[in-house]
Amino acid sequence: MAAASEHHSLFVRAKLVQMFDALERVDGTPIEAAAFHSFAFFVNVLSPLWDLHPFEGSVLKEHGSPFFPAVQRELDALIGDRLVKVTDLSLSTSSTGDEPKLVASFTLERSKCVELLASIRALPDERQSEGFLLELADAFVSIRPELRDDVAVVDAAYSDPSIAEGRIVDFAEWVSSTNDNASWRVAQEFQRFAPDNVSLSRAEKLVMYMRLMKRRVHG
Amino acid sequence: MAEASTFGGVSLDEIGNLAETEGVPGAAGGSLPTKFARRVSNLITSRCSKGESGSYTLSLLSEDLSNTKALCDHVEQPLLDHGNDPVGDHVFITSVTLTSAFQLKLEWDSIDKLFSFIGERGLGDLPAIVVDWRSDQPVGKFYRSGLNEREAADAILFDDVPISTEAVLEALKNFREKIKTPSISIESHGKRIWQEAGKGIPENRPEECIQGRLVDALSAVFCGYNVRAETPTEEGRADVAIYKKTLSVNGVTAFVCEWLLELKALCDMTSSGKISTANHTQAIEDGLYQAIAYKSNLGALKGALCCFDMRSSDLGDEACFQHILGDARENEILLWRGFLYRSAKAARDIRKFSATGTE
Repeated sequence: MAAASEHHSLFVRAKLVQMFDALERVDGTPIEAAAFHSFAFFVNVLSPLWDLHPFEGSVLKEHGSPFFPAVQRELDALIGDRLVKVTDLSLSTSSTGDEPKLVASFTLERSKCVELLASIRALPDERQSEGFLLELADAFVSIRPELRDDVAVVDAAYSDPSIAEGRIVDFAEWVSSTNDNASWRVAQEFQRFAPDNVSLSRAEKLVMYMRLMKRRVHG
Repeated sequence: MAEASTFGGVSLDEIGNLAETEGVPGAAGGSLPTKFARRVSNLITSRCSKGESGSYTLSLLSEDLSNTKALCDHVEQPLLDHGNDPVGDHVFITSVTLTSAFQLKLEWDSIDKLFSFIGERGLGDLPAIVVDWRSDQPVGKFYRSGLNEREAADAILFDDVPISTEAVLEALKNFREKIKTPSISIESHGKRIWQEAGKGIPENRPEECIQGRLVDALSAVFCGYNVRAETPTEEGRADVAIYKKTLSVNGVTAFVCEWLLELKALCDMTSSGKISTANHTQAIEDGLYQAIAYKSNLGALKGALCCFDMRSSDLGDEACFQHILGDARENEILLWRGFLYRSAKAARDIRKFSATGTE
């Protein structure tokens, strides 16, 4: 049990490094923690488009953007290992009288990750994963920086009106990561509106999905 | 049809509306250099309509902007992607989205001096696009591997005329240059074509590996076009189709297929290391008839059969295509073949023999 948990922890940590690498290559860093969780959310709900298994299958629906405790835990570990660095730390005050919050931005400590990334790339399936993350990161950074944390709130699965705040949004935990995942279904549905003789690729469906998210969050 | 509730918080109308108004994204699935090429191309097209002037524009792509911009004095150009800032006689270093852009403070009086500056400042490995504004229409060159490798450049077409046969042949020739030896073919994390090149063992489904890379390469050259793989037709899936987005007389978005490319990888070994029993003469003939059928199915303006020859000996175009020349000519199918060497030495030997005339 402990070994499995350690394995999962290592897997998530490697995934986070890959996510930072993809964001960095498209100029998506430094990134605030909330925006990073938002990106992690899209990595999870859209990875079935690439036949990849999400590293988290569900998330608690809260007021505001989704938050993955495991992502935060492993992000903290990466900072401790000096693979990710904190580039900005400030206290945000709220106009609604909420408690002030510490807001941090992160970036990859690239020089320390070169070998690690090369090792990850050499693993079977990871090149596939790299392609997916780059495509998603490229689409994600087209959203205005100040809205990147909020964009997951308008995601098809997360904004499902039948799931109340305080309940679990399950897109791959106990349900199918495809047919029971509203985000995947919306991405697939674009095919119905494609011109004749055009069979949309997974990358096109992903980009169209993220453009829909951009349209929704930009208003 | 799926129930509306299966789309969670998104409505079917929203999905349809986005698909209708934004259409199929052109740069999706491409490598970062290809996305960069297409975005710079859009910027150049937009600047053309605003009467851009000057001699050259040089754009460099960085995947590590915070460090590379420090290699040269610069000023930030935060709104470059809007297309309202002049770009003539400027050098930019940008992110792939062009949303982060820096104009480099460089002075030069000739293009070769500019290229030297770039190399000296350690920027010669960055993918680069040079636009020459000195004629009526701008002319672009895309250096995917950077200005340090100037011989490996692709022309970028900004004009709105149909893609010529010469342009396709040039693009295929340049693409073949990038995969002609096993070591070149795996540069830039490209998908491998050979499993064990020395023994002639290809990767599993070599045609698919080549197809993916060819689509990416063509997308960077024909930036105003949608280059698609595996387009379904009545008689099968077309390997590569190059579409131009246009408006029909009713104002509806339509796609015109300008070119249909049917690909064949000719191997004398299988990916499991066994001697292939494939009949190549028959495979080439089948490829021609597939090209004819798909060209007709898609209403393509032009078609080509492209053979990537991975066999041990280079038998030449004539031996390869002799038996189909008549049918290809009659059906206006262009025939093209690119030989892929199994080692850099084999490529060098051929060059040496050709140079000394002893082949």
